[in-house]
Amino acid sequence: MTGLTTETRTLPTVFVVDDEQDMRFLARAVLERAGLDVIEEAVDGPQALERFYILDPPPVPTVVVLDNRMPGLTGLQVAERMLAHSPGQVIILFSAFLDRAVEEAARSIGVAACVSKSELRRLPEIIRALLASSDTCD
Amino acid sequence: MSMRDQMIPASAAAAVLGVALVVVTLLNSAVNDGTQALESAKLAQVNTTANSFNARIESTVTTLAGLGSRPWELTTGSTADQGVLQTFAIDPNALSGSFLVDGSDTVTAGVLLRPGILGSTFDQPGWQEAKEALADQPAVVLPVTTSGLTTDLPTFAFAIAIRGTTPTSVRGAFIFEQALTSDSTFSQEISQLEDSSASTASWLFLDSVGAVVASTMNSGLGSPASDPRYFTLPAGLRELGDEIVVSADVPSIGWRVVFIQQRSEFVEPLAGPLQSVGLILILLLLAIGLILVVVLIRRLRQSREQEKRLRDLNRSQVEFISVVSHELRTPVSGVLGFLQTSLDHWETMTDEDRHSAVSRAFTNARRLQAMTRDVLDTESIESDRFGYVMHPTDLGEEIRTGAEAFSTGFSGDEVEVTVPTSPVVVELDADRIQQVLANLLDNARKSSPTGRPISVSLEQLDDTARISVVDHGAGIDPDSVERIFEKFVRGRDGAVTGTGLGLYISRRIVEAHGGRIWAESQPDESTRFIIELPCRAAAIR
Repeated sequence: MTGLTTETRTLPTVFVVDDEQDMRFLARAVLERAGLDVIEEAVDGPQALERFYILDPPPVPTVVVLDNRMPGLTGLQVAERMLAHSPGQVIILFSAFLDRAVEEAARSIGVAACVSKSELRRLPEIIRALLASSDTCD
Repeated sequence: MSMRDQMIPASAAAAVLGVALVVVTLLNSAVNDGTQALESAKLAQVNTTANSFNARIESTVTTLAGLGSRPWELTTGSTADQGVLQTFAIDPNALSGSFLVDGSDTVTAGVLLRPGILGSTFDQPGWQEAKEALADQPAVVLPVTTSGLTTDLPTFAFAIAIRGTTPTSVRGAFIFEQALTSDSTFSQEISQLEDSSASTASWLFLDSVGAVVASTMNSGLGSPASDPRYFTLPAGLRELGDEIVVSADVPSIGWRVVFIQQRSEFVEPLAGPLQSVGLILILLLLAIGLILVVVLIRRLRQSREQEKRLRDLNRSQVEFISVVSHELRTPVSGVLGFLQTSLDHWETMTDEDRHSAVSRAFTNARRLQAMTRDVLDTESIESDRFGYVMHPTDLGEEIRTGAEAFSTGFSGDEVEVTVPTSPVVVELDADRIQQVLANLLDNARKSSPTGRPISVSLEQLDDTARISVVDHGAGIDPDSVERIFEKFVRGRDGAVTGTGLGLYISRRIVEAHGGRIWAESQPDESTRFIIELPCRAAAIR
C-alpha cells in the first residue's frame, strides 16, 4: 500500500482539453506511453472548466494540456479562469497555431508553456521539465 | 453617416443657397434700377404735362388779355356791355358764362347769370387777392368755387383786368367762369394720360388752394383733394404710405398736376416679371440643389456601403488566412501525430492499434484534402476557371450514391434517404453535385447530436427538382441564415471549425446549374437546406 501511495503521489496527472477527438486520442497515447496519467478529457472550454472544478486541484490534475481554438471559449480564456480558481496550476497551451500575440497573452496570464501540436512527441518531456522546474522552485 | 459625409451635401446645399442668394440680390438690384427708371420716366411725364399746360394757360391769358382793353362802360345794367357779352355766349347750353365787375366789386353786366346777381357785390373767395394781382398781370385765375355766378356746378374763373387811365390801374374785371365737369377741358386733358390697365392710378389738377379741378377718377370736383399733402408737399416724387405721388407745379396759375398710384402696382410691370423669373430661378436652383443633395447623399451612402463591404471582405480575408492556417495545421498535426506515434511504437502496438492509427491518419489526410480543395475551388470560381461537364442525370440516383458514400465512408453516420421511384432527370455535373451533397451532409453531421439521423429527400415539383437535407442539431441563428452562403462566413451554432467556404462553393455550383439554395432553421430543433434545380435544359452561367 505504501508503494502504491507513493506512486500515486508521484505520477503526474494530466487533463487534456481539445475539441479534436484525434488530438485528444494522440495526446493520451503519447502521454500515457511516457508514463503520465491522463485522468480526464474535455471537448470544449465550458466542459473543461466544469471538470476542472470537480477535480478540485491541487493536486489533481498536475498539468492541464489545453488547446486554444475551441468552440465556446478559447484556451486562453479557459486558462485565465483555471488560474483564477487555482493559482499556480501548471497549464500548457497546446495549439496548432501559435503566434507571438497568443504566446504573449498566454505568458501574461500565467500559462506555463506554449507547445505547438507539431511538437506532440516532445510533450511528455516538456511536462516533466516544467514539473522539475516547479519542484526546484518549491 | 459620418460628420464628414454630412458636410459634403451640406456644403452643396449651402453653395446652391449661395447661388440662389446671389440671384435674389441681382434681381433685387435689377428691380431697384428698373423702379428708379420708372420713377424718372413718370416724373418726366408729369413735368412735361405741367409745363405743356402752363404754356397753354399763358397763351390763353395773353389771348384773353385783349378783352380787358375793350371800352367797357362798367355801369350796372349797361346795355352796351351786355350786348358785347352776349356775343360771347355762342352756345346757350355751354357750361360757362361771363360777367363784368366794376372797381367797387359790383356785378354790372353778364350772361347766364342767375337771377338777382346783377348789381350785387362780387365777393368770391380769392377775389381780393386776384384783384391785387391784376395790377401786375393782365389776367389771373380765381380759385375753384361752388358758388359761381353763372352755374350751380363747381367752377373756376379767369379774371381779366379792365384797365383805367394808367397801365397798372384796375377799373374793373372781365370774369369768365367755366363749370368743372367730367368733360371739361382739363378733364379731357388728363384723361389722355390715363392708363386703363392701372386700376389704382389717377391724375389730378389741383388749383391754387388744393381743390380738385379735374380728376381721372371723375369725383370730388371742386372739393379739396382727398389728401391735402398732394398739394402741400414739395413738387417731385414722393411716397405717401403705400402710394407713390408725383407732382409738378403749373407756375402761371399756381396749380399743380398730380399723379397717384399704389406703389406695388406702379412697379408691377417691371418687378412682376422679374420676381416671377426670380421665383422660377430660385425654385429651379432649389430643385437642382435638392436633387444634388439627394444624389450626393445617395452616392456617399453607396460609397460608404462599398467601403464597408470592402472592409468586411478584408476582415474576412484576414480572418480566413488565420482560420485556414489553423484549420490546415490541425489535420496536418493529426496526420503527423498518428504516423509519428505509429513509427515510434510500431513494435509494441497491436494490429488493431496500428490499423486505428493509420485509419485516423488517413481521415485527417482526407480532411486536409477537402480543405485544400475548398480553397482551390474558391480560387477557380473567383477566376471563372471552375468548369462544368453537364449530362442528363437521374438526380435520385446521385442522392442515393452520395448518401451511401457518406454513410460507408469515414463518417459512418446514418442517413435516411427518400427519393422518387421514377427518375428525376436533371442536366448536371455529377461530380459537382456530389461535392454539394457531401458538403451539406458533412455540415449536418457536425451539427447533429449523436444518434440523430440525417435525412435527405428529393421531390419533383413540375419542372423543378427539390433536394432537402435535414438535421436535428442546434440550428442556425436567424440573423445568419442569409449570410452563411457568403464567402468566409463560418459558424453554425458558434462552431469555429471549417474554412467558411463550403456553403459558398455549394451556392455557386447550384447557381451554375440554374438553381438556388437556401436554408430554413428552427433554433434548437432542426435545419433544412433546400436546393432547387431545373429539370430541363441546364442554365450554365
